Amino acid sequence: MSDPTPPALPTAVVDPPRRFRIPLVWVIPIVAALIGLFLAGRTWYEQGPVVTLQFRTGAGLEPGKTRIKYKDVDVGQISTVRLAKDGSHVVATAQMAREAAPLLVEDTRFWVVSAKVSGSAVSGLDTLLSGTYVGMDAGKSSEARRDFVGLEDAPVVSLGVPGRSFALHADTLGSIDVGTPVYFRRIQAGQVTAFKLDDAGQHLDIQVFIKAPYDRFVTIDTRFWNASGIDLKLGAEGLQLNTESATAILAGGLAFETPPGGDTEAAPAGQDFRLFPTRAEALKQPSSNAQIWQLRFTETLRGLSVGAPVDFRGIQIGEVISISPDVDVDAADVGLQVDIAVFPERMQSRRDATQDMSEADFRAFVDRLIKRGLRAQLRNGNLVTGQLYVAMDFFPNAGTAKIDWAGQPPQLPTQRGSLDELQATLSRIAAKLDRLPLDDIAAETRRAIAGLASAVERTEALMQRLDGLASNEVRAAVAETQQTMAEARAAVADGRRLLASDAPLQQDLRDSLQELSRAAQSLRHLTDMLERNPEALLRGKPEEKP
Amino acid sequence: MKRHLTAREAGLMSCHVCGQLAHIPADRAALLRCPRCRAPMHLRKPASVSTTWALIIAAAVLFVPANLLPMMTTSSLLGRQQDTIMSGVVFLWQSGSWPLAAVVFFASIMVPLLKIIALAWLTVTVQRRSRRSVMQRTRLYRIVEFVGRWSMLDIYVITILVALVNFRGLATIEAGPAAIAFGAVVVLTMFAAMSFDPRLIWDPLTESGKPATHV
Ligand SMILES: [Zn+2]
Repeated sequence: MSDPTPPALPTAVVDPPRRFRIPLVWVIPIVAALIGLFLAGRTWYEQGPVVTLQFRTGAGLEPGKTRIKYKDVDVGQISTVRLAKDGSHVVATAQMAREAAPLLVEDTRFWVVSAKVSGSAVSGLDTLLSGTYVGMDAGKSSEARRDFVGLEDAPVVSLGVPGRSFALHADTLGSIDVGTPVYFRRIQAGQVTAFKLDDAGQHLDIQVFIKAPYDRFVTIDTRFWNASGIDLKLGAEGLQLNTESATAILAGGLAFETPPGGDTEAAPAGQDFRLFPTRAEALKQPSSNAQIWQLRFTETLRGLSVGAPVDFRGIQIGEVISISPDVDVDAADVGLQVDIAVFPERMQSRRDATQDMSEADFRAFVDRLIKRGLRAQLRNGNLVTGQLYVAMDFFPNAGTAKIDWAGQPPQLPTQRGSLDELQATLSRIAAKLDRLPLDDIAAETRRAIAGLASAVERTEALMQRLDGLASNEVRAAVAETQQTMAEARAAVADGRRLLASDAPLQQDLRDSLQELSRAAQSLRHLTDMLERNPEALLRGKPEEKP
Repeated sequence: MKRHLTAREAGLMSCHVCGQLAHIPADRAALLRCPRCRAPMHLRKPASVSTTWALIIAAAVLFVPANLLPMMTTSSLLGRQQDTIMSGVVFLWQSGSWPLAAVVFFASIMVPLLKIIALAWLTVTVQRRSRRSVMQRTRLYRIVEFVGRWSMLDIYVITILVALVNFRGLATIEAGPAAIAFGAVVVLTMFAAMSFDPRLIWDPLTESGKPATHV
């Protein structure tokens, strides 16, 4: 404003020309390329191997989503899931993390983890939120592998857990399943890892894994038994209840224990064991030490079961190992044969007399025992249930018997059972009573009395006729005779009354005899029925079936 | 097209900093300074073409990891998930958010890509002294410059998410390596657009047959 005429345009100031400049701007793409190379290199470096996994189904496998976890750490991701060429299974490819590469060896296992609820456990609950994932268990082999076949079920014990596997053989599976706990002194010491039927279909092979601190308690002599549920046993010993734990009641379980005096050296991995159904059976003496005897009974064996005790005056010395009919074709007879195992250790005297006895001495000893009346007898161990047991006892009145040492096994003489004996005696009494000719005796007596009465009457008539003829002396004698006759008649009348079929005495006697006979019969019925239906004592007489 | 007189034809140049007009001295090789603020003066942005090329190449290089590497890592109770830009777009598309998927696709993939292509094309045509569709190329340059600031959308979203979603143990979101590359791409293209001198588009029209202007 103060200067109305604008000044002239200035000219740019000239600086001396600069030295040649490095075009710094090209550093930028070089740096960018370096960064790009670095990122690519790092990604390539971090990228582990690609593995293929075979699964039966693709359930839950999502490409780009499903993770592969090892020890609950992500080690990879399923990248594609496609059907195998023949359509029989699903092939998934997985991009593994670099650090997982050494874990991908020959015996590495993969399986699909999804939520699973079984009787004993709820597993994989986290997958409800995060979705199914693939579990991995690193193997120990040193041989690398890139294609795997996925397991159907998650392995119960991962390979890294210290411990040892053992094989059990059982007749039935019971409530055992993969994952069923194995208890040692009621501590969970391991798990069932697998089971399968053997090739013949006769037995089950059950694999158990015992964890590290407990596996050294498994020795050659260790016994395994099924601790599933409640072991309620009703035997000749009465009612027995055993259980391992509350979990075992619900979900089943196995248990093991080494009987005292057993080998203390740990068994090698993979050792075979028998799985016993109960603890009591498992801890019994091994049957190799047992002496087998054979018993032959003619009476019914209803109520006797395999495993029933063999008892000597209250001490169990053995058990019944088999019951079978013994057909004698020549004699056309069917007997019942019971094999018993007797454990000599349980009969050891304090002097260990039987311990170092020679075979011949032992036989002589048993022969002497038999001579003294040692017999086997069936006895009722439990009146309520009718369970029988085999009792060994001395019967001094028993007839002579000998052991057939040639028999395999040798046969011990038997004595009829106590209840059987009572029944037989009662039957004998009843039969004898039946044979008494009571009616004949009564008729004979009656006839005799009748004859006596007619004689008396005839004598009386004679006396009366004589009365008119006779002298006084004679009359006196006749009178006396008449009186005697009257007395005799009274006596006869008394006798007749006594012997009348409705006379109280005879009636009483007959009633008593009849009662006795009926009682004998009832007793026989009762014993028969109890033998047939031991439960009748508890439940009453069973309904007659038409 | 009607030709207008340019400042250079009139023997004038302006200061980039304070806008002062000045006469171009006769010594062309000399380094010029603003007579008012002493800032270096150039007829055109110095080394515009090579700088633009360098920045475009850098952006193109980084565009690859930006799209291939995970953009963000979401860790939550539901698992850990890494998303690239494209997998995010696919996820949005599959879950039905088509408009959002389109926005992310355009803002994060198409725009940087088109910017790089557009700048490369502009630079190539300038280098080849093309006289065709000058007007359109100028408009394209304006669009490229305008759009530049908006392609940081992804970075903004991730920045906000990382800051907001950080419930320890429940869910966390982390920016992945692609976020850095992607940010670099956006910044580099913005710088490339800045370093490009749109006057170069018009220059071939004024100095037909003459050698290219330099410095
Ligand atoms: Zn200036």
